[in-house]
Amino acid sequence: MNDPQTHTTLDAVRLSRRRLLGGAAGYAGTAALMSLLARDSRAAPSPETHFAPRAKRMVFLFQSGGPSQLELLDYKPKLRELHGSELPDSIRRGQRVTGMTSGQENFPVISSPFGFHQVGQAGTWLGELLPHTAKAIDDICIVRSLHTEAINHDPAITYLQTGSQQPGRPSLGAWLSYGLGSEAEDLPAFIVLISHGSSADSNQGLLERLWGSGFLPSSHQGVKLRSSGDPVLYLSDPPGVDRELRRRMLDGIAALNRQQLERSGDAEISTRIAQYEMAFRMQTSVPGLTDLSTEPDSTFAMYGDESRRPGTFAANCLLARRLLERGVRFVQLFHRGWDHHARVVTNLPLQCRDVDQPQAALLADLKNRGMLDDTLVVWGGEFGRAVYAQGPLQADYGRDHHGRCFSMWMAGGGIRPGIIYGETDDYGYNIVRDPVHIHDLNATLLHCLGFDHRRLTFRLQGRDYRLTDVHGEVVAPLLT
Amino acid sequence: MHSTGRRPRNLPANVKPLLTVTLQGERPRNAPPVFRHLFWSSHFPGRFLGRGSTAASQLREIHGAAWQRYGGDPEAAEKLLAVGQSPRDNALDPAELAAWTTVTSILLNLDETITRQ
Repeated sequence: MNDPQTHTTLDAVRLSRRRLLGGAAGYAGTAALMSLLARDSRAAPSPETHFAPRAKRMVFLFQSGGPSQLELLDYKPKLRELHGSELPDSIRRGQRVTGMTSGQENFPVISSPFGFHQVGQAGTWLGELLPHTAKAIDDICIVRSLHTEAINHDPAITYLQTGSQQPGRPSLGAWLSYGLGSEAEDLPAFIVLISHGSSADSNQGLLERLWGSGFLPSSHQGVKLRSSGDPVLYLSDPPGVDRELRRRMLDGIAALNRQQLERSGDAEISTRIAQYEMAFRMQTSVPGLTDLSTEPDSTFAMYGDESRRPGTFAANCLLARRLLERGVRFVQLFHRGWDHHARVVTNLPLQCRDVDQPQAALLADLKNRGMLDDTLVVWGGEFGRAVYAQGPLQADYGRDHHGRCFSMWMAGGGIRPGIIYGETDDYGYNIVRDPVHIHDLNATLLHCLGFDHRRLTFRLQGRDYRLTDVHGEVVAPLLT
Repeated sequence: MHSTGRRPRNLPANVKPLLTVTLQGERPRNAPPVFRHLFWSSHFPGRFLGRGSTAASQLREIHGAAWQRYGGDPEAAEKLLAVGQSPRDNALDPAELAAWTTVTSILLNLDETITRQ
């Protein structure tokens, strides 16, 4: 469970790196100040949920760049007759657009050439580019009414991940690590896997702070595995160093670090101690994790050939299942390349081919192992795409960002399967029913994992911060 | 760490005193040249309080364990010393050098070494 190292009294006090009383001269004063602050601080919550969780772990299949809901998840048949017409002001209602399209004189509506089919027991309309996902539709809940104020990538993804458009706050995974700890002793609670999309799209940046710990103890940050070559470098001890000597060295490092921690009160030191310890344990756990020779051929057939290639979305989905099996609390995949300002017709099928089969396989795989009921699966990006063409009206059109409505899907622990929630207008531009703000989404996700989003907090500068800022309502109709 | 005998400029401030107190009681002439220099060096950075005895005894213990291990397994010592690109003084006893490498590795991995204060 929670590593006691990370919840020392010193951490609870949270002396910042700008230590108020620097160095040895202020040592006595530091102790006095610490006892004053300790009265005012909140200790870390025990690793207990607020109520019985529906899900014990989570995997977020994040689609970076903003996948187009209009081609994939939100069928708008009226667009066929509206194709080429100017987006009416009554629909746009003064929505700000990005600098990329603000110079355009016209905003012609684009109807997608890609078809939609009705699938599953509920007759859900799903884009033809996702045939494998279609087979899993009865397990999936599609939300079509997500919305965000952000219109550009970094603020939008930061917003979704941390609850604020401005960086500095802990990510969803860090909150979960803080609240739940890890089920596994020899793997981090929060792991990040990144893959590159096959489309020719310029990939949007993914900064480490998107899985960072913000002001939470930094041991709660996400650990990113490498996407090419070995997922973790230098797993084996150097030549000539045996485990026993390695262990003694680590003990020596920890002991000296602990002395420094006591002298300085720098909480980052306790993180470093914890991470060296975790690294030692990962030396034994990671080889087993990444050794896919234990997987039967049927696994690779299910996830697709790409799952044999490390660093692909497919391989990451398989790795995600293995991580979840081993007790990792939160696995977040980031698949890049959805930012189709140009050539949607060319690029979107390539992206869909990257993700369609493996994500359906992951759902089936979790289900077969009896894990889908207590694993929360989420799919989506930081926003969606707009109904009007970016640039000229042409066969291989582009779509700009759109935050006013977009779609995600969820499955697993606590989520009602086979339903659609929320509705947008005929242009796919505005929400007409049941809006879900990303704060509401995060509140709902935390609820599935057993937390009242208002009560999973950390006191900083006199304020109880939480993932949902001061907003968010759990969307009850999404829950079982 | 280079063995040219010039005072290394990049050593973090904490390493020197820690090495120095560790070396106290050891025979300095058996230590690699750079450590010998540090031992005799008169540069003691100011902040070094209350660290000496516990840290030094811990490091000496580990040095002792490493020296025993590499003394009994010269092949392991050779393997360790082959890592890296820095030239190695072949006149130095491999077991001793491997033991000091172990101690140095600990010091270079300390939070206070890695973190710029």
